[in-house]
Amino acid sequence: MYQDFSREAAPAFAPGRAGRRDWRSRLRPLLREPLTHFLVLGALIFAVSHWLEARSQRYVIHVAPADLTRIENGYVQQYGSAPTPAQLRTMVDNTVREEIYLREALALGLDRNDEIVRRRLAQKYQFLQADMATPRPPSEAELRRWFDAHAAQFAEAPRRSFDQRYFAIDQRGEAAARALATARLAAGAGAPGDEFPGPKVVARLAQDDVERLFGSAELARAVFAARPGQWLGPVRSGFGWHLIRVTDATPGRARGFEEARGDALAAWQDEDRRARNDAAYRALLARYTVRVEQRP
Amino acid sequence: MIRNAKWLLAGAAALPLAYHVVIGFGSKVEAAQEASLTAPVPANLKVNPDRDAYFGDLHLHTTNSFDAYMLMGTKTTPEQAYAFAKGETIDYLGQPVKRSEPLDFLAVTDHSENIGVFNQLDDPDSAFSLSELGKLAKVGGYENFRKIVGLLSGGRLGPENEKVAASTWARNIAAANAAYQPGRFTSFIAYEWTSMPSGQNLHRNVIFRGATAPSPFTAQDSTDPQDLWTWLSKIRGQGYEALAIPHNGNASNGLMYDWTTLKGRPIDEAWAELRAANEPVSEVAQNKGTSETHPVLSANDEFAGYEIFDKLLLGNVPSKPQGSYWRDALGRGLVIQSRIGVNPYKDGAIGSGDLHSGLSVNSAEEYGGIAAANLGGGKARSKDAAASEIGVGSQPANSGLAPQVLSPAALTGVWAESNTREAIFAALRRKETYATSGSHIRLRFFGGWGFTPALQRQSNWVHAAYAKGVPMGGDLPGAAGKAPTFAIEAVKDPKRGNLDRVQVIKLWQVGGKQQERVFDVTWAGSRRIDAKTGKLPAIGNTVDLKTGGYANSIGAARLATVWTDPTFRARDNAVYYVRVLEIPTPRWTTLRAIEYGLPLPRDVPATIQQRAWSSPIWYSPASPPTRG
Repeated sequence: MYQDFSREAAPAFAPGRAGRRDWRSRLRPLLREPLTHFLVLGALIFAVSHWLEARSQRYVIHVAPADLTRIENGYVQQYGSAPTPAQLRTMVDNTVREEIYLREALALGLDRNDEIVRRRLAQKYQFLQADMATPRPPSEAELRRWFDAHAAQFAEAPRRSFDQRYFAIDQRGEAAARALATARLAAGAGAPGDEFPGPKVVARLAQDDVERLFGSAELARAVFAARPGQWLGPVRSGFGWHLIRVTDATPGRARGFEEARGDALAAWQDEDRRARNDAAYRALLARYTVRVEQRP
Repeated sequence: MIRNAKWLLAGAAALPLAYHVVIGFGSKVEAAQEASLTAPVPANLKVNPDRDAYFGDLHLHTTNSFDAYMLMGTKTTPEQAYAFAKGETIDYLGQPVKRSEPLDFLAVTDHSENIGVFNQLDDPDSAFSLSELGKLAKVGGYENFRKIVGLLSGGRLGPENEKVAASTWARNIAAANAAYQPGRFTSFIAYEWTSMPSGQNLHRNVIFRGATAPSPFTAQDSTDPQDLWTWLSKIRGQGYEALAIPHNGNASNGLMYDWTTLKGRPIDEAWAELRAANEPVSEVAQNKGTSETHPVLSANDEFAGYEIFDKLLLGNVPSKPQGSYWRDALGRGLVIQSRIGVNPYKDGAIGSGDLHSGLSVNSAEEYGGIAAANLGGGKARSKDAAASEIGVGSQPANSGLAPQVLSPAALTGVWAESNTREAIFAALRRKETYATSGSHIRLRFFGGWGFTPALQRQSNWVHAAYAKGVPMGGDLPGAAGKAPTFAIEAVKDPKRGNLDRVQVIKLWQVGGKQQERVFDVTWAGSRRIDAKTGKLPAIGNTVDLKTGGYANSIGAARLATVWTDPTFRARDNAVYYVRVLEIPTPRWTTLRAIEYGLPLPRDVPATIQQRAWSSPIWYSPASPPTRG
C-alpha cells in the first residue's frame, strides 16, 4: 500500500518550488479523503494498542503469590525450614533474571535451530502426550478376553527337581569318571558318587537355570527330556559326569485368569498405554507429509 | 573445622543453583520419576539367609559419557545397556547383539562431568557444536581429546550445558529405575566422579541405594575425594544412601592410597573415619588393568604380574606403583592404624568392566569388536580392524592405553540374601564381596575360632560358619591369644577352566613397615611345595595355540580347606584375603588372533590364569596395642 502510494507520488519529487507546490496541491485532496483518515486513524490505533499490549506482556513480569509459594516450597524441601526474607528475595531475583533472559532470547529467536531446545521441547511434548494416556481400568470382560488371547505369556515355565550321582573328573580323570558312572548306572545307581561342588539343592529349576548352574545346555536338555523316576546318564556338566533321576516334573502350566489377574492387569495397562501412545503418534504423523529423498 | 564450615557455605551456595537447574527446567520429568516407582518386590522373592552369590558389573559407560561418545563413538543408551546386561538382544547400529548369559546386576556409571553434553554434536548447528570445544571435539582424534580433557578440568561449560547435564542425569536415573526387577535383575542409580589431578587417576563410582538421587557432586565441584565423602555424608542426612568405589589405583601414580591426604596433610582420625564411612570397597580388577598388586611391590609373588597396566590413563606416562595398589593399601592401613588408632584403608574387593560401549561382556570369547577393543561385545568388522585391536596392525597405538593390553570386564561377586537393591547394597557395605577376572567362581571365606576340617564335611557347613565366625569383609577381634582359623571354599565356573590353587595373602606391619606373605593353602592334583623355594610348582598348560582350545584334564572343580596361619602372632594386627587361580586358558587376544589368522601379539601373554580375589578379614588383638 505504501509502495503504491509513493509510486503515485513519485513525479512530485522533482526538484524546484513549483514542483513542491505541485506536490502539496495534489496531496491536499488526498488529506481530505475520509478513507485516508480512516486508514491513518486505524494504523494509529493499531500501533498504540500493539504498544500497549506489548508493554503489558513483553515487559511485565508478574510474580504471583502462588509463584512465591512455589519458590518458598522449593527451599523448604531442600533445607527443611522456610527461607529468610532476604533469601526469598534473592531467589525471586534469580527467577526474574531467568525470565528476562528467556524473553530476550526468544525475541532474538535463539530457540530456533538450537539442538538442546529442540530436543527438550520434543521430550516435553512426548512426555505430555504419554501423560494423556494415563492408565484406564479395563472392564472385567475386556480384561478376561485379552487374557484369554495372551494366556501363553502368563504360563509358568516347566520345572524339574532331580537327584544326581556325581563323578568328579578332577579326582578320577575324564575316562575313569565316565566309566564309573556307566558302571554305577548298570548297578542301579544306588551308591553315592563324589561330593558335588555345585549347588546343593536342585529343586524346581527352569531349563535355563539348570543350564546356568551346571554350565551345560546338553545336561539341561537331558533333564527336561527325562522320564521321572528313572536314572539316566552319564551326562557331562561343566564340573564332571552325572547320573540324573528326575524326582519331580512340573509341566509348564497355564495360569487361570483369577490367579494371574494382577500380572494380566499390569500387562494390559502397559500394552494399552503403548497402543494409545502409538495411535496418538500415528494421528499426528497422518497430518504430515514426510519426504525422505534418496541421495543421488 | 574451618574446612567443614567452608564446605557448608559452598554447599549452601551451590544447592539453590542446582535446585534451579533441576526444578526450573525439568520439573515435569522429575515429577514423573517420583510418581513412577520401581517395580514392586514380588511376593515370592527368593530369600536365602545363608546368602547366594550374585554376579554383576558396577562400572559401565554409555553414549552419555563424553569420552565414550567422542573418543569411541559409542551410541548405546543407558536403556540399551541395561537390556543387554539382562541378556536381551539389542540392536547396535543395525546389528543384533546378545550376551552369552545375563548378569544379575548392573550400574551404568556415566561420567557426571558434562554428562550428555557432547551428544549435542549430533546436530552440527547446535550451540555446542559451534563452540570452540565443540569444534575440537568434532575434528576428533586422540590429541584433540586430550586438549578437551584439559579444557574441561578448567571449569564448566556454561548454564545451557548444565541444563543438558541435569536432564541427562534425570534420564539415567529413569533408565536405572525402569530396568530394576527385584529378585531377577538389580540396577543401581550411579555415576562416575572423574577426578584426575595432573592426569593421576582418582576416579570413583558413586552408587546409590534407592530410587532417587540428587544432582551429582562432580569433579568440577572438587577434585579432592575428601570433599566427595563429605558430600556423601551430607546427602545421607537428607535420605540419600550412597557409597563411593575407587578404581584404577594402578593409574593414580601413588595418590589413590597415599600416606597423606590429597592436600598433603598427614592422615588423621577424622579423615580415616570419613573415608571408611563412604568408601568400603575398592575396584581391584577391570578393563584397564588390575589394581591388586604389582611385581615391584610383591617381588615374592610369582602371580603378581596379572593384567598389569602401570601408566597414567592419558599419555604414555608411568604411574608409580607405591600407593597405587590395593594390597599395598591394606598394609599401609595397618601402619597408619598403629599410629592414629584408625585404619583408613580397610577396603573390600570388587571387580568391574569400565567398558565404554554400553555393552558389558566378561569373557575372552565375547570381548573385542565394536569400534575398538576396549569397548566390549560384538565382532570385529574385518581382519584389519581385528589386527589393530590386538596390536599387530600397521597403526601404532596412540597412547600407553594400547587396546591389546586391556581386558574383558571383571565381575563383582556379592553374597546377598536376595537379588534386590537393598540386599546387594548391604553386601557392598559389609564388604561381603569379591572380585573375579570375569569368571563365575563361587568363593566362600570365613574366619572364626576353632573351625576344623570336619566343618566342611557337614552338608550345610556355610550355615555353621555364619553362626560361628565372620564372612569375608568382617572383623575378628582377638580371643585369648588363640590363632584364628579360616574356612575357604572355591567352586569353579562350570563354563570355564578348572581351579589351580587357593592362596591366602597375609599383611601385617613391623615397626611402621608393612609386610606381606603369600601362602598356597590348597591346590589341585598331587603337587608338593618345593622345600627349597617354598613354592608350589605350576599346574601346567593345556592350551592349544592353534585352536584356542584347552582341557579341564588338569585342575579341580572345587577346592576347599580349613587353614590356620602358621606365622600367627596374637599381638599383631593382620589382614588376610584369598586369591583363587584357574588353570591357564587363552587370553582374548589369542582367540582373536586365531579367529582372524593373525600373529599373536608379543607384548601380552598368550595364556593367562583367570582368578578371584576375596575381600579380606581383619584380625585385631583383643586389647589393642598402645598407640605410638
